[in-house]
Amino acid sequence: MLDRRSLVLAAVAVVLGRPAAAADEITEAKAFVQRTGDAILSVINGDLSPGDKHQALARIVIEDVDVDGVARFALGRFWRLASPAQRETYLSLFRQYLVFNVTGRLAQYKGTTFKLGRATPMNGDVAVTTTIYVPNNQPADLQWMVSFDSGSPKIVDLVAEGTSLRVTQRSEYASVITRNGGQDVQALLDAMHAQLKRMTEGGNG
Amino acid sequence: MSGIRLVPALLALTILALAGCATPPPASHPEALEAFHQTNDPLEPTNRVLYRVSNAVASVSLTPAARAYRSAVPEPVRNSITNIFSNLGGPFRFANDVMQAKSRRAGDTLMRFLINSTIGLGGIFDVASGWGYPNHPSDLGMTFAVWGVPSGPYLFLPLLGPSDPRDAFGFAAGTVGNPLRALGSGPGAIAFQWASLGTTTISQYAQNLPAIESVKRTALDPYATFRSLYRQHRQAEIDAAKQGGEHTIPVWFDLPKQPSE
Repeated sequence: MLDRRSLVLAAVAVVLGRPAAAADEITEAKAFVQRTGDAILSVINGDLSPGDKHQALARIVIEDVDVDGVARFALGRFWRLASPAQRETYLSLFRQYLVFNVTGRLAQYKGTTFKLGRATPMNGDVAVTTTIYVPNNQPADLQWMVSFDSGSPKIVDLVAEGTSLRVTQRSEYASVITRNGGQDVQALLDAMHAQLKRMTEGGNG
Repeated sequence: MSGIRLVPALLALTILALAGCATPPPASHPEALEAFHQTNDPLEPTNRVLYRVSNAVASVSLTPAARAYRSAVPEPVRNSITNIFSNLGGPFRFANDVMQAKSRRAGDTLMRFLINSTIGLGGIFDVASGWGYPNHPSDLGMTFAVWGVPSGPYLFLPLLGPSDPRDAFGFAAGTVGNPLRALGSGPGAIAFQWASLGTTTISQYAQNLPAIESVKRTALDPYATFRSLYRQHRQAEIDAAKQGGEHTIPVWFDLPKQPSE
């Protein structure tokens, strides 16, 4: 039978066990951000042709970002409104948009370096702060939200000056759907389609 | 009557003129209703009109001015100009830090003003940042927020852009209480006040121009994107002010390593 002492010991073990697991994730999240940042910068600052750079960056985005998770977050409550076919179209459009947007932007940051800052647990994920040094710009803080929900670390959000990429995306999508009746995601899909066409035709976004 | 006194009056008129309202979704759609409250933009139809008008006006005035400024003035000089005007706002930020009862932040602001006004040659160089006194925003809107005043609905104001009643009122009151007004009310002083307002506006706008143009070019609904960005950014500034003040030791002080790092 359990006496009082072993109960206390068990409670202590539970309390001590938890930060240990969290500390593990924090270390892993920092190493992951360092790896991903290094990989991105080695492409940007490397000697590949622009086309090869885009491809290399697209691979990093697809591998290290939880693209479908971010996409579902960005659609929010409208995900349930979408038909299976619409969901599939949406995920595909979002993936293309994200890859194009990120690769189109990153290519302009030649010469950039970054420094790893502190990492703290936040809403079940780990927030890793980095300071980005872009030539001819003031140093800027960028927070990477790293999730371990899928088993391996994945980027689920980027936060700059308090503004979250996925939250901003979500309010934009919600606005497009609401302004078109609020009952159908088709208007958003059409808008995303047109946007992708504009981006691919007009060079980098 | 001084010209700068007109700004709060114009603002009050603008707020009064905002008549158009969005219709909230019916109670049978609780999620839609919640989203409506979260967006907190009941004046959206009017705000969108003001957004369009502001953009049209900016595209023939502020945007070309900011572009010209960016191409005519090299980056280091632009940074120095930003620093000078930021330094002039030091006493105003200090007063707000004090009203927010944030001793550490008030100390940072005071040290920044003393260091940058002297060693930084009147604010041209931001020496204080490197010495462990980082810059932070502090204004009346933030002070009201720290005091617990709610933001009120979203507003898009001509000239000012994204705002809310709390920030708009803070801006108006801050313009009246601007330390530059201590220079007096002669024509020279007033000319200087307007010139500094104009230069600050253009230099700030020029700094943000690439980001603004990128959102306009890529966003599906730039109005909603700016609204979201403004809200999040402002909330982060206010949260930082609310949490500021736990540490009372400058960063250059040799602290023992934090275990969580």
